Amino acid sequence: MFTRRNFLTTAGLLTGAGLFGGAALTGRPTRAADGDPRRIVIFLEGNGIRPECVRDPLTLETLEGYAGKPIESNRDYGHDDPVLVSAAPLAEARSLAALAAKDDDISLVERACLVLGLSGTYLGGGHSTDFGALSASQAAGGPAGPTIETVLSAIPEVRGNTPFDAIRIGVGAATTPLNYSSCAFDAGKPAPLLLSPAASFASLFGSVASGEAGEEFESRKQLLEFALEDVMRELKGFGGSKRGRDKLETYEASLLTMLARNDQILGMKGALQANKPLGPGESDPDPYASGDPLEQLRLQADIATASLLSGLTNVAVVSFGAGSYYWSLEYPSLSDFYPSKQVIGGHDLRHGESPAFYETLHEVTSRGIGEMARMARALAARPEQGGTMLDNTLLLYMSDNGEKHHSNAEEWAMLMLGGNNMGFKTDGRSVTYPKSGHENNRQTSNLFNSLLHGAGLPTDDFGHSNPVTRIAEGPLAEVWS
Amino acid sequence: MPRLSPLQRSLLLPVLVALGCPQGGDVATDADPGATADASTGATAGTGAPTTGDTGPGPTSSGTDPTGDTGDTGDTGEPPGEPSGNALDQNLLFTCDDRPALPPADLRLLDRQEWTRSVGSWTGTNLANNPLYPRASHRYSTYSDGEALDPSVLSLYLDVVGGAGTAWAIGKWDAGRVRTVIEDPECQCFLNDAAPSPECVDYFVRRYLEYGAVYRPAGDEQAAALREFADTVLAGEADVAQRPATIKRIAAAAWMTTAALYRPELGAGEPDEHGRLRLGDWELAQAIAYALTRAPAGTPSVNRYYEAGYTKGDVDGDLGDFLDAAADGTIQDPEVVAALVRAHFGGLDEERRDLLFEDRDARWWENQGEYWMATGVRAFFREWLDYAGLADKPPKVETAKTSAWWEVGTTELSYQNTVSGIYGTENTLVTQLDDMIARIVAADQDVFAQLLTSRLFYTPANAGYQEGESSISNSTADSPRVYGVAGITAQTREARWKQLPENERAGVLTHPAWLGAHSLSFENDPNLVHRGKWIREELLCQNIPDLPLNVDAMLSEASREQSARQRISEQIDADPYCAGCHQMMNPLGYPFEIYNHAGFLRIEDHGAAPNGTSVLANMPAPELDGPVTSAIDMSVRFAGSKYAKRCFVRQAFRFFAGREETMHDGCTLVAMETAYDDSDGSFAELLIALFNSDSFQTRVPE
Repeated sequence: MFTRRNFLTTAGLLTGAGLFGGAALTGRPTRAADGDPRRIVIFLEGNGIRPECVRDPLTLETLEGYAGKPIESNRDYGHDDPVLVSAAPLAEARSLAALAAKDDDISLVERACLVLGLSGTYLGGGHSTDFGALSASQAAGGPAGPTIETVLSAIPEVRGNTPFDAIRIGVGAATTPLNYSSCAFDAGKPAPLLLSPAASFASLFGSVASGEAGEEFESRKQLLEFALEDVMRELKGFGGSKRGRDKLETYEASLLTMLARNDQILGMKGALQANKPLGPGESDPDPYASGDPLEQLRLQADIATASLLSGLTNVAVVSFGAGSYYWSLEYPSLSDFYPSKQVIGGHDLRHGESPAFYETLHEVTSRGIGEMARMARALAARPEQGGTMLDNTLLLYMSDNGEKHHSNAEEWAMLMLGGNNMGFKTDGRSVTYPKSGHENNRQTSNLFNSLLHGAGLPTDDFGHSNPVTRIAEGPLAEVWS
Repeated sequence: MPRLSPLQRSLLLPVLVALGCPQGGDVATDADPGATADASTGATAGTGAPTTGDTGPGPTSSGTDPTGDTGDTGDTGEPPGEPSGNALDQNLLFTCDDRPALPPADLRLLDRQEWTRSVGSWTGTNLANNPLYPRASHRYSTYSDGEALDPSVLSLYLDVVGGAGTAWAIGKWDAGRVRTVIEDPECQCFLNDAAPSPECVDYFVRRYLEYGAVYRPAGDEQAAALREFADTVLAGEADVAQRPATIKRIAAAAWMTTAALYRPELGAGEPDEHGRLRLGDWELAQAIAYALTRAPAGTPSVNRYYEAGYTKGDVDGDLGDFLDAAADGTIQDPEVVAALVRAHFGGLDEERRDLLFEDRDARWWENQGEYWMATGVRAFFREWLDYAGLADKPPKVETAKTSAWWEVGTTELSYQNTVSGIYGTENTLVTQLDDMIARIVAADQDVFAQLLTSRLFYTPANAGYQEGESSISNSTADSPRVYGVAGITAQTREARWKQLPENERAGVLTHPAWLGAHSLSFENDPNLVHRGKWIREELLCQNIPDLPLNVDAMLSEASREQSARQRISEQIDADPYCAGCHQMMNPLGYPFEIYNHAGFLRIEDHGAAPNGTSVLANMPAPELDGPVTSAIDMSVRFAGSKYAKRCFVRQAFRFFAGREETMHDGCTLVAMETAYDDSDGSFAELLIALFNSDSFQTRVPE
């Protein structure tokens, strides 16, 4: 599936590596200094990010110069090699204004890298690639492999001593608070995202929610131990059904995980109390009672940030209408942006084919990126070994199906922030790869390879359950070295 | 829909033909059929071709590829599902040959409703808000493959499991009490004694296991383990005032055990000649009980609030006849199974005691119809027809547009309230369709045809909700209009039942709840595609492939003022590439254009008369081909179709057996169909045939 590689022997296999302008492919160590924490956060917006809303003016002008014509979509790209624009005025892009310095907020422009032109046609397109987006493998009928956050969270240098290998939370219109369509533990094993901020808070900070909750947490240990004895006893005499045994073994593993985690959390009370976000019912009006998805996203981002600050985890996925969960999302707080101020469901909104509808979508993306920027600033404000937490944390904003509602998956616009200590070139640049179909086009899997290299598991061939769909192995030299 | 160039389309065409979408028009077909092409770039690697299941929908009467699949806008937002039983050839499937049924042995994780009922609670409580959701990827909530209590779900479960014993810990006169404990004299010592005797503790622990958690005889080792846990908790008590907390701790422990969380369907005894084991007495009794009622035999009889009285059952809970049949082994007798099904699948009950487990209170319940159906039966119809989620769909805009009620009175807000049910005590469109179906099920004659042709609708009352009568009249005064019902409907059951005109409605597919659940926000949105897709997949059991990559399934913004029929016919049907797949859906959707998106009957359609005509082609059986005048005409045709009826039998099999059918279930499907036909269309007899079949009663160990 994914392999550690000796680059001395495999460099020659990296098709097209030379195109990356002298990427140092040999003997690469991971960049983070020994002992520096390594964290990855992925914001996953559902149903497409329109590239024009994140393209800054200088990048656009440069690309149009190569193309010799206006750029309407990636199909108009005319360049044959990656186009790197250093010091791109990223905050001038329609949906990247949150990167700019404002009042007490530091500028994040110099801590960012905009990535354009990566393709994901190997994943399919349409409404969502579901597990495909994060597993880099087509997900017809279920996940074909683990998603990237699962692999990252298993890296010892990333996991460190955190009780949660990864947290998966988000926002989505659904009748259930669990999204089973975006993340996966492994092939055929979906991992749920919690779509309820209250549930996320209870799971992560329940131990310090109040005095009573702490006692409750202790009594849970008894329950878990009782259940573990029961399932072990059951498994001892269980036969006759592989399906049944699998379910019992999953339960047993979950109990063991919970027990270990609970012990650890009980020992982290101080850190949890110091970083705990506002919980349900702790303010009036209670934001947890809000049905506004943007408010819910803000809460989930707060919870994820607090989890990182308090050391609960070093890997997080924050989804935003991923999978089919954008379908009914309405944004009442964006009513001024909707055509005729008529708030309609997410699917209808995305079917509107006019600049007025696009403007609403651009604002949606802007708000999502705004939450990632808020998280980045919180991390930048916290010193730790190697500088600040932002220096040791790579934040990635991406979509789960490419460039639009019914996407061709030809262009997956992405924004990276921070993580400089891991080798990510988040220095205010933009990089745009040649268009889909060009021999020098690169894929979303290459970006994930870059994450794995930076995180300490050098991997050149993440994903692609169908290997012939891979254009080139290796990381992206323009975003990591 | 000018999204692809002719060259791009020609590159994709072989792929679509291979998928089974019949192709019309004059599109070139000389591309290499073996190539996988990226339509947008011409690249031959690294691209995603349209995806679909392994095989197609079965035969068509028009002689198209019997192994092929059908087309799709794909515009439904559905997550990818598991391999579908629709891939099977239905004509071959209904053949009883020598292939034995081979269902796999398994453990079934309780779902959230089953758990709620098992702990003595009801819809709308915090306990009902448990995380044991069925997998969204499953066609029906009863499917069990891939269920898992992973750490995320377990973490959420721990937040609710502490309340599992609440019903057993509350006082004798308090709301929510269950007869299982308060009416059992032998339990009283544990409830009241400061130092209950060992025998008393033994009894209570075993009683809770068998009538509060696992709902079958508990093993000695299991009981001993919980007893030991109970002793530990009792030892930590300061005084008997803490006993309710103790009971809740014990109950929580019981509900952490695998025996409580998972329902075994493993089989017992010696394997037969096919290596199958037959379900044990308790396994079989509970499998039928759960299928019919979504609750175990023995589920507590609960007094939700004092005036409401108790739900069905006695001191040993509900479905005592199931418990008896399991205890004495007579559950293995087909006649006993038949009697149990007939007793519990539905009927007439003026009191509607079944509603005591539902949300809200008697003020709403008394406004529902007098016919009930078992919770499992209701769940089947809700899931098959897929209308229960109406309120969760994108909101409808200009709901009465093109109907006689457009901008009339309070129709707009009244419609919204019949969806949400926020104001007043009339029930929602979803519940009104439940009531309509319950009456058909209770009559139990020619059920499939009645579902598709009945004109007896349960409609909302608006008497007492008019201006001057009610402060919420703006949201209630015109609630019957969506059915085309004028005037005032009295607040009686008799008045709410309306025989609607034969040129306006016929059956569930013309019910506003179904129509609204299968449409988008605007009246000229491509609602007909969604409705046609449902017909093809769920009424004809044929597959529609996923949205092909590179197809941007959008109607042009310039056509916003046109009728849906014009938009679809000009932008999709007229395009040979699009029509190749859409011909499998659109003809089935056009008949519904006599209704708008919300289910109002149109009186005009963008300057023209409403037009529900269509020509059905590429249908899987000859009796379904040919022109129809409207959804009413089409529903009548489906009602008389053996092919469509067989799909209905398959859907019932899937829900109540809790899995997709395979070619090994042919004898069971034939038996279900025979039982249904021989009984003049009894749904109960169809279920009895299933529950007495090898497909239901045997399991293959692995």
